Amino acid sequence: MSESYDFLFKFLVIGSAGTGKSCILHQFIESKFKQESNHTIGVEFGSKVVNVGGKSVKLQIWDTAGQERFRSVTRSYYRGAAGALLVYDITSRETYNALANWLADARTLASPNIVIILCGNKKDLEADREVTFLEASRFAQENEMMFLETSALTGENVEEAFLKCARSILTKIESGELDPERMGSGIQYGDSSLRRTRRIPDQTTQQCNC
Amino acid sequence: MALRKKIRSLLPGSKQRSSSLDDDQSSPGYEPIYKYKEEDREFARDPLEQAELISSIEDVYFSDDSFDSSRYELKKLDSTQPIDLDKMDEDRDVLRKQLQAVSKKVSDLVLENQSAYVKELQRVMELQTNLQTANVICANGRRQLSLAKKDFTVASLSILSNHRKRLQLVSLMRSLHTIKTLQRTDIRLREMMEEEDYPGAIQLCLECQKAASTFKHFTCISELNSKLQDTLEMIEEQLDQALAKTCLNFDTHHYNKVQTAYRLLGKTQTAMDQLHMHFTSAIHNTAFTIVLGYVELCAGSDNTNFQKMPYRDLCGHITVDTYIPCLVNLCKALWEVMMSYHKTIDWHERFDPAAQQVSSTPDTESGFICAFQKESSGRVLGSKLTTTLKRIEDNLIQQSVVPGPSQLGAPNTDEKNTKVKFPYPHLSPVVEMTDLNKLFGLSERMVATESLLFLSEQFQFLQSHLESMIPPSKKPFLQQFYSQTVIVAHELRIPVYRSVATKAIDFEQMIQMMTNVRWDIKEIMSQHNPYVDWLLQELQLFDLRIQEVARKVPLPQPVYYILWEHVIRLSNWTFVEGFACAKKCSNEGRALMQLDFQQFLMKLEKLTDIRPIPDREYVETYIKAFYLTENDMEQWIRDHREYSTKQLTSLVTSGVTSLFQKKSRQKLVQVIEEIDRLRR
Ligand SMILES: Nc1nc2c(ncn2[C@@H]2O[C@H](COP(=O)(O)OP(=O)(O)O)[C@@H](O)[C@H]2O)c(=O)[nH]1
Ligand SMILES: [Mg+2]
Repeated sequence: MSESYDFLFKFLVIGSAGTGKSCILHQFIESKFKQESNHTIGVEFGSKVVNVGGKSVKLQIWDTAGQERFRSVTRSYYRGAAGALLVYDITSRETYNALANWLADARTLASPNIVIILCGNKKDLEADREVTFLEASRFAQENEMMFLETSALTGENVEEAFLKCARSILTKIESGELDPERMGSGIQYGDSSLRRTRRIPDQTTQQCNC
Repeated sequence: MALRKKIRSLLPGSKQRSSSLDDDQSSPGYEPIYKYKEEDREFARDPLEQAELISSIEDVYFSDDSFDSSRYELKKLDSTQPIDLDKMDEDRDVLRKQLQAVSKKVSDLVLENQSAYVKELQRVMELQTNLQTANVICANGRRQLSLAKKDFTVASLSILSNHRKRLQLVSLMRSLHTIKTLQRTDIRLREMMEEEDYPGAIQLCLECQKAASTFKHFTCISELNSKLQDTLEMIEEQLDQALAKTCLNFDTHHYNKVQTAYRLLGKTQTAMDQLHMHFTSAIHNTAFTIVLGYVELCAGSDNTNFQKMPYRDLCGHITVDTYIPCLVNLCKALWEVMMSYHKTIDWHERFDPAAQQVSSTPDTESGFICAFQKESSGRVLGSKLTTTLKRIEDNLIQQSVVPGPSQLGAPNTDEKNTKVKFPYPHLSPVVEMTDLNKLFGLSERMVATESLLFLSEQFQFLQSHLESMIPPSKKPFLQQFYSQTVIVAHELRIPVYRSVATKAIDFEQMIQMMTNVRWDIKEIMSQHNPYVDWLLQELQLFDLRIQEVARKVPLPQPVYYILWEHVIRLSNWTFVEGFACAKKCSNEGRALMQLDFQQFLMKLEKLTDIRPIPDREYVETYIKAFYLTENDMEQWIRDHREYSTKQLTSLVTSGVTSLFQKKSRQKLVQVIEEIDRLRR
């Protein structure tokens, strides 16, 4: 059964435990809030084909868990990722403070071109807010990340976060900043016919860069 | 005398002591007992002098008790000589001095030892009281010990012996209960005989005999044993009669029971011999009765005793008028016997060899149920449905093929039982049950099953009407019909349609494809494996075939649901089974499994409306269990018996990056094996 999509992007969802990573993934795939979210065991995986700027993109999303047993292979998950959602919980300063560490991990283990979007989750819990929009926004800017506040509960900005990230990657591909053919880019073409048509402009941009 | 000796013995070495006595003498309150010349005290003040005085005492004074000092002194006087007073006086003084010295010495010694004596005496007294106390304690102790002996040892021993006795009695009671039950089975046996349940009765009787033999040591048992033997003989007699009945009116169900009973007795050969005899006498008896009837009818008041007449002679009495009707009747009756004979032979040709194979289980699966099981390779029928099918088959289906007009589809009314019986159903050769493209006769299956369900629904609508019209005494029959037959009709869908789903996809091939996948990879894959596409393609074909069928025959939603639900379940089970084929698996390989399964789910949800996807968790839980730590793993294995031993073992042993210590791996394998043993 052939898949009809133009690109496949590998995504990663990272951040401290309990920030709502699994809920965000679930909301994105199933359009439902996952009521009883257990601790993630190993990895969760979900995929969805979305439409970005007239192109259909298959997002392949890995939601990792912080278990010891799993740490050893985190590298292989980072390596293949084109985009990442870095999640903290706006009602927990602790999860916000941990962002620097997560970011450092991502920058060292993932490809240098990885596109990261910072997500301040649990936006619906305004009353318990511990991290302001402004400071998080500044942090994102300083670290070259996009930024959104999301709620896996209401679904607000969840799809938007993935789309925004995907759009940014697509733009980078089109501008030639990103080379999908490079090993570990986390990007693949859809069916072969598309690859042939896409290959030509890609190669030209590559030549331009040289 | 002892005292004197003592005094004397003290004398030589007690100079120092004597000197210490000096002070005592001067102590106030000291009064000599005898006083001579008060003004001139003759006591030797000087201890030395005193000692000298004492030593000057003649030895004889210390001799013994019989010594008489006065006599001794008097004897000294020489009677021959005149008494010299002065000398006497002198002697007397010496003696007196000596006496005084001794007295003094004694007095001193007494005084000196006085306190020691008192002390000693006190101790003696004390000792005496102690001894008395000890005596009392001993006496008390003895008394209490004897009490304890009586109260404890004897009491406990008697408790123990009572307990033992109780146990014996309890076990005796149990035996007696069993014996009582055994005694009572006789009643039950008779009941079973009345119900014509010969196999049951024989089995029960044999069991009873076996049980009775274990109680041989009770005298009452021998009586029971002979009674059981009698009963068994009686059963055999009745069985023989029952066998005889088949000659005139063969009934498959009845004959089944009789044959099973003979098989239990191990007397099938006897049964055959008896049956031949019964047929002979059946022919003779029917013929005789008929001829006798006609003869007696015509003879009128003739008193000849025809009963005793041989058949041949009896026939001679048939008149010309009655000859034809008698012959017709005779032929009819003999035809009945011949038909029974034919049916009997037919039965043996059809069932005997098969029945002998399963002789250990008296109630063999009947044709209907066999048909279902053959189709779906396993037990698929609910117990209620099984019972219903069996009952329908027993009561409504003719089990023997009888050549005759009744065979041509019309119900055959069994004259004796007034029960309507139908011929065994046969599948029309037009129906294609093996064509995958037609989903193994799905349309015909639907026509048959859904028609029946429609009927059952209509019957349900009618229930209240029927109940209002039927006499109250018959109501229970109606209710039974509803609860046992009408209600269970819908259960038929499951075995009928599931077998279609089971055969629609070659899951073996999927396992083959999955076995060839490498799961010990080092990279996170972005592309799922080809077997997923293969399965999805097969499912799509399945869907197309269903649609094709649905174009010709309306396909009800529940049927669609059963078909899809089962095919999805089987797919999911195959996923787990296929994953369990992984000899080696890395974390990245596990992620690939998730990728494969997710891809399957995503595409599947587009193919079907079934939600939630059945047994989805069954696969997901299995994949993720791989990530568990050693400690959690053991509990997980114990909690998830829904996975096979092979599947559990693969989970524990396939990990490549020594995630578990070898030792704990072995331990987990042991846990799995232990569970496996429990499963059997
Ligand atoms: N109110 C609220 N609760 C959330 C939201 N997202 C997640 N949660 C809750 O946060 C907890 C942790 O979520 P989970 O997705 O398991 O976190 P993870 O460890 O990052 O995967 C769960 O109890 C969720 O119900 C959100 O947007 N709003
Ligand atoms: Mg999680």
